[in-house]
Amino acid sequence: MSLLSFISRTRRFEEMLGECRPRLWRLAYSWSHNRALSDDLVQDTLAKALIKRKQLRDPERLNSWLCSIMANCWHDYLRQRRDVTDIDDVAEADLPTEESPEDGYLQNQMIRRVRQAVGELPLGQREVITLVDLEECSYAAVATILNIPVGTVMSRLSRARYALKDKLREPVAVAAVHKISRVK
Amino acid sequence: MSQEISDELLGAYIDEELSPEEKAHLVERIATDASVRARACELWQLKQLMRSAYRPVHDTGKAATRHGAKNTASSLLRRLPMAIAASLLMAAGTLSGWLAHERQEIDGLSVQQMNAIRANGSRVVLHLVSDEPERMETALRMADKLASAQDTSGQPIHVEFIANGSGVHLLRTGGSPFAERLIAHSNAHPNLQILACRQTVDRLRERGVAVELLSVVQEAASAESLLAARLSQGWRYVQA
Repeated sequence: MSLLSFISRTRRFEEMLGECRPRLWRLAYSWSHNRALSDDLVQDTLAKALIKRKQLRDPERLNSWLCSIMANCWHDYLRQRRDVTDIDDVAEADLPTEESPEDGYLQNQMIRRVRQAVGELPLGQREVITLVDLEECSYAAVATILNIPVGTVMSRLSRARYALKDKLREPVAVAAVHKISRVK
Repeated sequence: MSQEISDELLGAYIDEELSPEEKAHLVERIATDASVRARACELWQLKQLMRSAYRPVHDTGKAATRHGAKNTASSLLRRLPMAIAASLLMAAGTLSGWLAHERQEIDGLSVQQMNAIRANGSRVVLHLVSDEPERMETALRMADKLASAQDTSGQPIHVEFIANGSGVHLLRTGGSPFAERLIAHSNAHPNLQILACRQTVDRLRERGVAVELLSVVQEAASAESLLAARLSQGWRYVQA
C-alpha cells in the first residue's frame, strides 16, 4: 500500500515536472539564447528536482523552486567558464550564440528585435526581467531564486526596462544598415 | 502634489507589487496625470512585448507544425506582437506629441452622433480592436459618456464594450493601466457591459499566454458574431 502510494506520488511528481518543462525551457532560452544549452539546463534542472523532491514542502511553490534550481545550474555553468567573474556584467557577446533556424514564429522581425535587445542586457538584469515578466514571479520570489536582495531585484528590473525601451526606440533603419554591412 | 513618480514605482504597479495604499495613490496619479499614464502604458506594453517574444514551447519541429496548421486562423494573432511593438515604439518615439494630442482630445463622439444615438433605440456597441493607449483612452471616455447619457425618453443607453485583437490585452489582469478605470466604469454603470472576444482569448492561450480577464469582463463567443447580431438588431456601432 505504501509502496503503491510512493510510486503514485513519484509518478504524479514526474507529471508535474513534465508540465513545467516548456516554461522552464522558455526561461532557459531567454537567459542563454542557445537552444542546445537550454535543453541541457532544463534536463539538469529536472534531474536535480527529482533527486531533491523531498525538499519541496509546498507544491504551490513548484515553479519558483524549479526556477531556483535552474538558476543554480545556470550559474554553475557560467562559473565553469573561466572568463566570467561577475554575472551582472555578462552580456550576450560573452555567451555562446547561435542563429536560430528560421521558423514562422521567428520570422517576426519585432520578436527578433526584442530578443536581441534582451540578449544585450547584462545577465543579472536579463534574469530578473524574464523571471518577472515571463514567469510572473513576485519580487520576493525572484530575490529568493537568485539569492539577491529585493532592492536589487527592483533596481535591476528598472534598469533592464529602461535599457529595453531605449533599444527598441532605435529606428529600424539602423538595424537594417547593420544587417546590410554584415552581408557585405 | 506633482511629486515625481519613479520608474521603479511604476514598474511595481505594473507588476502588482504595491500595497493597497500605494496602489490607490498611484491610480489617482495615473488617472489625473497624462504623462504618468503614458509612462505606465509604455511599461505595461513592454511587459506584454516581453511575453510575446518568448513562447513556452520546447520542440521547434512541433511548434512549426502547430503553427503551420493554424496558419490562416492565427494570422490575427501573429500580428499581435507587431501591433504591440508598433504602439510601444510610437508611444515611446512621439511621447510629447501624444501628450499634446491628449490635451485637445475630445470624447470621440460628435454632438450629431450623440443625438442620433439618443434618438435611435439607445443601444450602442462600442468596438475596440487596438491596445494603443490613445485608442483605449478614447474608448473609455466614449463608454463613460454613453453609459452616463439618457435617451430622449429618459432611459439609460445600453452600451456593450467589446474588445478583440490586441484590444483584449487591455482587459487582462496583470497590471493593465486601465484596469481600475474599467472596474470603476463597470461598477458605476449597470447599463455598461464589458466583453472580450473568446476567440482571441483562446488563440492567446494556445500560444501559451496565461490570459486572465478582469473580474468585470465577460466573454463573448466571438467579436464578429456579436457585432453581426447587434447590427442586425438595430444597435448603433461605434469603433474606438
